[in-house]
Amino acid sequence: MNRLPALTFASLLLAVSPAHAAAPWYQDWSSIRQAAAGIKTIEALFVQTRTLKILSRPLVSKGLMAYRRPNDLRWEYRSPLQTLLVVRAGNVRRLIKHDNAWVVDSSAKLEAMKIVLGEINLWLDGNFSSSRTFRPELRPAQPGQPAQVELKPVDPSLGKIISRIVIVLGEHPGTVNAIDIFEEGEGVTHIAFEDAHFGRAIPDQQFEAPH
Amino acid sequence: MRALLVLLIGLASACAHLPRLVPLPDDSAKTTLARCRQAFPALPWRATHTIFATLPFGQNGALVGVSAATVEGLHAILLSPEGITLFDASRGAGASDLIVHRAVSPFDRPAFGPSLMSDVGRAYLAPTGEPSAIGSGGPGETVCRWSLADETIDVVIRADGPRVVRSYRLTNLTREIDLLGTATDGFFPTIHLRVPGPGGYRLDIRLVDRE
Repeated sequence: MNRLPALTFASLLLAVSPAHAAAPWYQDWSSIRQAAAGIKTIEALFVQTRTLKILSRPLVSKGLMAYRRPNDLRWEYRSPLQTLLVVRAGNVRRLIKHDNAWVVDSSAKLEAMKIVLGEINLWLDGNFSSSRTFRPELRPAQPGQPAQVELKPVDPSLGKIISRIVIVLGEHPGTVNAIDIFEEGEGVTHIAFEDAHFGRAIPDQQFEAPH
Repeated sequence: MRALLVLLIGLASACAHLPRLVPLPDDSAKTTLARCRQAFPALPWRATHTIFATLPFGQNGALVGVSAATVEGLHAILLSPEGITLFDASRGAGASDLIVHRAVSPFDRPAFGPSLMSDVGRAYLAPTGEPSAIGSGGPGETVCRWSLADETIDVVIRADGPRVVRSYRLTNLTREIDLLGTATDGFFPTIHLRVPGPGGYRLDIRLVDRE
């Protein structure tokens, strides 16, 4: 389940790229990798919107993500659920806030999530083309449609959970407009980032489980 | 020795009974029934909840529950914090016609669907038909009792309104639901659902939104 932070994070890694006069920063996999390599830290708020046929109003979740190169990550939902994923030096911790205290999330996780976690480093490097889990396709910008990276699961069993993921890149280097996660059928989860900060020092405790 | 054990078990079973109710006068019974029905929202409704599950062997997890009910039936969806559909099922007015639209491991076990729908149904749907008994139970409590085909449902009223829904199979308590806080249109801000026994679990459910 927690592949989403990784994917989201990977897309944000694409976010800071030196302006390129001749070609867009997302021209090819190589230029994307080059852009990602310059990223040291990212902090951003996110709004996740899940539409469901049985609800007239979408379910909105809000949270915060932080990344520090080479592989420290914080993905925190603040509402309506309060959950936290922290990764520091390869150690993954998942927690849930319950009765005002953080407790370890010991629920059974999807096997697919473990596979995806194993590929995080590829994504952190903007190295989608080396993924063995997702088949990436880079779609250049078209009139009325910004550039996109589409990820389709290689394994059909994973495809029954997530059919594809679309990362919508911004026109300006360093921006990601949105991420859409499509389930088999009609389900779509939309994640939008806001108030992103790049290159700021992030203290160690942001990537550690709270005491 | 073995015969003695069998005898003791037999005696215990023979002595076991549902909590005794002292019948109320007709006028009071009518008022009590109206208050018992306030334990449940009026149909149709749609609601979103957060769920903190405490499972056997110390496992726990956090989920988002989305449910909708009409006179035709009940639809329930479980989402991961990331918005992925883990379980999606509906059932008609009868409990035997469950249709599972989607179930991702570990939510694809055959017993999970009926159990989840029973939890949602008992927490948010008034028992069908008229109660078999209305009376005073423990100190400060009045009870509406429904004797259904396979279980007995007690809705317990205290001075401040409906507070507990208990389910029994024969004389064994199979589910206890605490209704916490002040209800609005039958929706309580917090519900604690407990299933006793070796495979038992507890769900702490908080209302996020309702329609």
